[in-house]
Amino acid sequence: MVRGLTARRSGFGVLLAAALPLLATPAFAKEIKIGFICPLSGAVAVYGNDSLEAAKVALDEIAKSKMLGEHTIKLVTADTGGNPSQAAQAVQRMIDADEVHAVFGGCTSPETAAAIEITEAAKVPLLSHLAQDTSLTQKGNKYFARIAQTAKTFSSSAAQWVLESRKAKSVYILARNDNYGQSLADAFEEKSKELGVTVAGRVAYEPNGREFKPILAKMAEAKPDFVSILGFYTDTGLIMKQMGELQIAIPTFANTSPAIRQFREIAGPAANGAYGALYYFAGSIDTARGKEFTANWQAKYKRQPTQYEGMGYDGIYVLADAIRRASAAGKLTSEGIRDALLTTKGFEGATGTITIQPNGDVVRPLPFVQLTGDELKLDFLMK
Amino acid sequence: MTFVIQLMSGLAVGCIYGLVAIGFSMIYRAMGLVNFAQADIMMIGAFLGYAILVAAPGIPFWLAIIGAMLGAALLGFVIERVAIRPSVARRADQVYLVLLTLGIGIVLSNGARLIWGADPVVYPTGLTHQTLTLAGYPLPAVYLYIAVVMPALLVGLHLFFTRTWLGLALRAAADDPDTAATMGVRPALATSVSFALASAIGAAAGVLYAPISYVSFDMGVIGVKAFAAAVVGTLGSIPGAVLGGFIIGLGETFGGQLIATEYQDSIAFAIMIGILLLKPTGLLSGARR
Amino acid sequence: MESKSPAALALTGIEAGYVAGVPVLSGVDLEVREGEVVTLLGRNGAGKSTAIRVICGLLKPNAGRVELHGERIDGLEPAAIVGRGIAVVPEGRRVFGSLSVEENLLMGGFAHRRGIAPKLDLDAIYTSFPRLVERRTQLAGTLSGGEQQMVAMGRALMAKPRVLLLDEPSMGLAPMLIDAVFDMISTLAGKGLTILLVEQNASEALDVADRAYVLERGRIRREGPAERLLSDPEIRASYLGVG
Repeated sequence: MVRGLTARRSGFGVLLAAALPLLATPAFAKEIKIGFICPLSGAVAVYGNDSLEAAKVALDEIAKSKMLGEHTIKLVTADTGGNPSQAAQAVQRMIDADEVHAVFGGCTSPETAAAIEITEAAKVPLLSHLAQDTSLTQKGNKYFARIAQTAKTFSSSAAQWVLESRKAKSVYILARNDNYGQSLADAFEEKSKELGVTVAGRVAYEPNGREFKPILAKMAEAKPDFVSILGFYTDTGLIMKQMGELQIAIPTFANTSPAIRQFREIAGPAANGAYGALYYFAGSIDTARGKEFTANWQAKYKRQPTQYEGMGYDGIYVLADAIRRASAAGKLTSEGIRDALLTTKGFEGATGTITIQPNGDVVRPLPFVQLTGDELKLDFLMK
Repeated sequence: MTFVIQLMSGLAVGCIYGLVAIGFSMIYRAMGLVNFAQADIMMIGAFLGYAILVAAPGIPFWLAIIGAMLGAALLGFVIERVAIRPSVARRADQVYLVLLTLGIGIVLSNGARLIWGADPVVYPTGLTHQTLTLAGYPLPAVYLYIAVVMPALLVGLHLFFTRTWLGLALRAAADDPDTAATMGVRPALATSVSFALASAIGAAAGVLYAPISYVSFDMGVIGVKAFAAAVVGTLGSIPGAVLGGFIIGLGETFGGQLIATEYQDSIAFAIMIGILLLKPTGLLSGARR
Repeated sequence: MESKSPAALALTGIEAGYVAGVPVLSGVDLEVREGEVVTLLGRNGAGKSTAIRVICGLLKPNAGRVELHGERIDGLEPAAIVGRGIAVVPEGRRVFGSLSVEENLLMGGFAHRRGIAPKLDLDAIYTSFPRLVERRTQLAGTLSGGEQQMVAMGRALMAKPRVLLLDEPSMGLAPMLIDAVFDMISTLAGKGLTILLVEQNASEALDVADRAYVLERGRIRREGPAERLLSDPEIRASYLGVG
């Protein structure tokens, strides 16, 4: 009985607390709805769940800080399951039924591409925090922006890092034989040549391939200073495992894989020393904002934020900042938010200083890490 | 150096293709059916091995192989009884039966995804990352297991089919079920047992394959190449399946190196088409099976 | 003169067919007494092989009963029927083509597999069919028709049957080989084996048989001692091609 009573009383308290700001709200205060689309179930659910958790943290902070004055943001979430058509349906519903002002997300490039089809037609801005496909910003989309570097930037930055930080003179490229792997490899090769690094060889391997030793034995003969594997963590993991089996000890860049647990399991001890690139690496940003973010996160969750959490967090802040500027300019509409978003300049984010270019692409620091034992260590932050 | 590594790699992959191809051939012989779920049964076998290694850490690897084979045999027996037998009994069209086995494969693959998840898993045993040096050549330690288990299975199968009543009965029932019935064989039981046996062999392939790479619900994709191996060696022939496995395994390895690795998958099928053009019934047709 | 002991094999009122409503056999009564050779004559499509399939249990009769030494066996699985002592040399021989000659013979002894009997019995078969000794490791599918017939007979004998069913053993064989087959049947009959011989080759069959039945369009038209049918003008005209 006592428990029931307290529960009711606290319930009343919450009600009261919720009602108070309502009474105090001036007439022009607006609830701004933002759609959130990410895979919350299925194979790539980790992207979406991490992003959503961090987005909520960011929204809580934004509400508390009154950064938007009397305006509030309401998140309308939908699970894409990583499926493009599900993503498109969700976005359509958000725009039609919920009348969202902007949409946030798209974790994978295909679901983001599907979402763009809808948001462009409805003239609603879409900000993706993770989609990397270079072509997304090459099609003249007017309502799309992202804070993840394109695959091309990722890859040519990696090539630059190989030269600048690792002092490699020759590099051997192993790339997954699909659109993703080949576009990364093209950028990597182009940048390498531009910087005077010899491309000792470039091999396209089958996406379903599981036996790479013949390729690797041949690669070892070329004696490159550095190996760059451009594929998914399953391929990069197997390739590094088999390099270990063949006792090939050449420093290796394994794309984004070193941050992924399964990569370490597949590659085993051979993963030790692998280099990788991340969207964001906790502790790599030594600005006040960057430190504050990781310290708060550590206090709340007793661990460092993941790269997806960092990106989800900053993505919401970038969007909120655009809303703030749109509001200040007196154009708190989808179009106004879009204009503000595409003119984001030098925004001090938790994942570094963010500038969005007119075509929607981003300029942001890119961390390169090395796997040492079971731990990732920052190797180099490319600004 | 490079040549020997390519050779060993091609042989190891060839063994795996060969073992899966044996399953194709056994079931084809027993019931005239191409069982496209065979490679998914291999995948389930690989996961069963994983489950055993997780449940009993430190268990010897060969016990995991045997455990997975027994589990897969039971699964194969049930699949034949529950899913395939009723359609065969109703004299379903071959096209329908092929679709049925494809469907069973999809169910198995999705089932594995539900149970073990979409992320690949790695065998929690030292063997996964162990290497050894043989005559100066670095090799994965699991190759030793393949080198022992593959011949042991082949000899075991040969003895089973020629020296045991059950083996003899399976062959007789595969040849002529009605006549075998008049000798006291129960043909329905014989096909179930054949299916179980083919599943067990597939599971052995899966468990041996797992430490070379990883286990995932979609690893059944190698089934297409194993099928090519079975066809190259004449569908229904066990020695042919092994021969076909080596031809495809070595062919794609060396072919991939000579031409271009991005064509490795196509090379496997080019070999199959080339051989079938020269000998449409496969290399071992007409030979003693 | 009828003996009181039950017949070795008796079919009573057998009605059977493959398609509902289209009986191949109707009201077939047939009896083979212990130690007797009985032949079932009839043209192609008369239902002779269907009768064999019913006895072996490969086809369940729609009506009637099959008894072996007074015990009902219709409704049993083929595997159970061979265990009770019926072996068959099927029409077209049906050797297991991908098994060796010896493996074929061993399969004949499958019902006795729990002991070592089948392996010992092999010698007896090789004595009866010396030709098979040199062929023992050869695939049965590669043998000539006559040799295959020997394999099929040897295989059936390996089951140590109390009643042997022979379905058209002379079909497709050269005349010389046909004689050899019937000699073999006489030899087996001489040893006291109970035999039901289904044949189109009426004259040879009637020569070795004690009694005969004539099957026409699924019904027994005539029956009686072999000599009497052999001299029957109607039989001579229809089945022996003389008269």
